[in-house]
Amino acid sequence: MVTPRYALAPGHHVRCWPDGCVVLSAPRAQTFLLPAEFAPLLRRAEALAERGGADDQTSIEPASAADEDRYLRLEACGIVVPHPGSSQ
Amino acid sequence: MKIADCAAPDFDRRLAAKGIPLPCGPYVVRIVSSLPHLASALRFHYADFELADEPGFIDFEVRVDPPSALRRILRPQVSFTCDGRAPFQPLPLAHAFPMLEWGLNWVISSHAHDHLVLHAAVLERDGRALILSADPGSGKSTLCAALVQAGWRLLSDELTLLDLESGQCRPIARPISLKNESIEVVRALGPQQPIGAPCFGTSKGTVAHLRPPASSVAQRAIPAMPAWVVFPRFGRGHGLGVEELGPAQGFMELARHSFNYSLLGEAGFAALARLVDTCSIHRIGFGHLDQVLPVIERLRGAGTA
Repeated sequence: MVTPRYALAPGHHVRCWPDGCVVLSAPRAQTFLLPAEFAPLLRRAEALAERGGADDQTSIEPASAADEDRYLRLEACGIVVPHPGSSQ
Repeated sequence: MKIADCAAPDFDRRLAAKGIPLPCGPYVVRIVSSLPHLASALRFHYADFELADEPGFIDFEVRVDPPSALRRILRPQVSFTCDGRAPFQPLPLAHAFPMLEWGLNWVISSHAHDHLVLHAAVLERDGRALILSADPGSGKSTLCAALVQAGWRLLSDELTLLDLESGQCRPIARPISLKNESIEVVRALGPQQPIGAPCFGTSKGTVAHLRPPASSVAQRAIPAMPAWVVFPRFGRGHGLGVEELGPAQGFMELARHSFNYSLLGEAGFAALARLVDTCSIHRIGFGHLDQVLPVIERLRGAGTA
């Protein structure tokens, strides 16, 4: 199984709390509320974005099928983008 | 000298000629008007404000006068202009004071972009601020007036200015706008409530304003750190319902009640995140002030934030 690696889309910002995650899409200043279950993925995507292109050292746990589905849903919303270093 | 100490004819002449500078949150607004009934309302509602001879920098020039000489006589009207712009359609002449107050709200909410501006009342007790954010008709102003009566300091009835750097709420301390049934509800809160003459038939129904307490005016430069956010929801005959909200839910609700959250981008996002991180957040449904006031006192006693 190939693990998709996603970074937070440029200009996006994330805050996660126990009752949900709020994402700001800076270019259009849209704000999304996502279930708290997205928190691990969003934090991972945020960490990758902060590391820029040099993420070869970043360790990502193999995603579960459910995680992959969540990543794809985030990508469809424009919240995460495939990271340049990913191996899809 | 306070406005209350100024002789009425002198005040009215000055209002019509060079204008009266009034502090309006972080701004100074110079108000000019030739309307005697507006002058009278200003003297009543802003009685405890200082009348400065040398006001310093004037941020905005506001004029409230008939749009033309004809409109002084034929179906008399009044218009509000700010720095020469007229953001609203003229209103009946009798609505001059509500129009001024609505116009001042517009001035702040349209320009205070060094703050996150929320459609919310804000009060202070023991150095901590309570933010009451709600849609129109939710009982926000009535509850705000009742809390003032109970000893809370008024920072604002209508607009919360959240400083982007410090996270503190900046006071505006202007009259509390009351509508329809809430006028009599507030009048019944105690003897001699300083409520001005009601204005009938406005777009919001009957409107009257409650003068801000002198102590709130005197402390209008002292900000307060927010500790509680409440979303009040009045419903006639409703029972009490208290629901604690998580930070994410509170964030989304506050973003909806902000005038400039989208405009501020990351700075607004960070300010709201800090606000929900440091406050307890509740939605309170109520049918009577006697239900909701003890709940707010309990929140205060719990010492959140």
